[in-house]
Amino acid sequence: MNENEIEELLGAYALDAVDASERDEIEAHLLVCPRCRAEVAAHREVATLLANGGAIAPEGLWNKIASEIAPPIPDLTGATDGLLARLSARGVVRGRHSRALLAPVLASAAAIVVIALLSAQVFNLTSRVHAQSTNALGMNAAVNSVLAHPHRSILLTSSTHDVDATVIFGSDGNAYWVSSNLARLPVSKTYQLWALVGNAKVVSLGVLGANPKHPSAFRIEPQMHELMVTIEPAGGNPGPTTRVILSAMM
Amino acid sequence: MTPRMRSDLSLASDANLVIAISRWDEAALAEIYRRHAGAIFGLARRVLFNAQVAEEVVQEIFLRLWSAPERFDPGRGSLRSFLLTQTHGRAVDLLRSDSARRLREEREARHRAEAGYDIDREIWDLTVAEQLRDVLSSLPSGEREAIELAYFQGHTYREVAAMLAEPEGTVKGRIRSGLKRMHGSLVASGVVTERGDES
Repeated sequence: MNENEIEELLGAYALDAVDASERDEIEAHLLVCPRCRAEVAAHREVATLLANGGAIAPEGLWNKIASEIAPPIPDLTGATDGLLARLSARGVVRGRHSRALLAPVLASAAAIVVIALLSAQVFNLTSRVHAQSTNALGMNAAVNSVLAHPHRSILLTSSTHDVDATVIFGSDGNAYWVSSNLARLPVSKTYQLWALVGNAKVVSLGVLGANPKHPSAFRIEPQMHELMVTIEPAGGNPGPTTRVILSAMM
Repeated sequence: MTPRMRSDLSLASDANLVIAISRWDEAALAEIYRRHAGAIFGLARRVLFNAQVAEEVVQEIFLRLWSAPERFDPGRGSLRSFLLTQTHGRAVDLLRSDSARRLREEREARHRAEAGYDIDREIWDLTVAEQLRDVLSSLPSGEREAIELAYFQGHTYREVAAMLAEPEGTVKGRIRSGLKRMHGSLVASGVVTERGDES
């Protein structure tokens, strides 16, 4: 379609009355045409007024929604051994890894994690609120720009390889969390992304939210060599407090 | 059961409530539900003509807002418009899916059984009802009919053209000109501003 043909369809588009192929073409045009975006917004504002039917939502519907937004904590049994074991494997925590001796290992590891927490630096504790102000289209455009050029990507995986997430790296030090199949968390929890610097220094790269299905950006520094994800209280922590559920070497 | 409210949220703007949702504040979502769920359910039910499926649409719209509040951009219009736009899109998707063919047939049978279908009937707010009624009545009948069939019955403009035995170009032109005419009249009467926001 040329521009005139697209403009003629803006009314029908605003009412969801175009075919899927036409919708795709129009939406591609809207990305670059503020005038047409404004026209669609005006059409939709009119439709909104027509749509305000004044109905009463059915009894009990809110309860269904409320129960959906607070699902049980996912069972992470069998996930990656975790940050404690990871630090242990690097020689930071010394001990045997047999299950019979797990308790003292964990005790030692816990002490080390305290040290790690104390030394953790919050580089960029990005909150979900910050992400709120980030234009979603802009984020997608940034991701698409990286994808359109030669780039590096890594797959963070769980130990069982049934949960993973993809991160891509731009040439300017920016990296992007692109997608994952992580389970949605309850509202009191968030996924948090970390980088390991050296053997025991852990830095936060940002809070990913309870359901990180969409792109978000973070900065990578040269000394970072491993990415990890943990589950933390909503709002995030200055250092990891639970075991690692996803990880990858950079 | 209606959602539990927090008194400090009842005065918050929609945009501030969405920010609170981004901090996982369930009470903020409950307040948005209290403000808009009725309109969302009303639109979904009107398009789908099926209360049970309309409930599922409402649920989906609120869960989408909960999981991705950043998709709402207050600079592009009101939250109500955003939610209703999503609702309409989802309802139409359901109508057009193959699995929903039976739903559509049932809906059309019920439409035929119901006399006096009138776009004016369910206008939400008495303060704007009069202006909307005037605007609607001033539309040429061809424009009004095309908008009704497309928006409230979920037909594409091509389907509307076939139903009305009119050229497709005529129908898409009527939809656009009708919406423009309504917007102009609603701006003149102060119901919406030039940039399309509700006043």
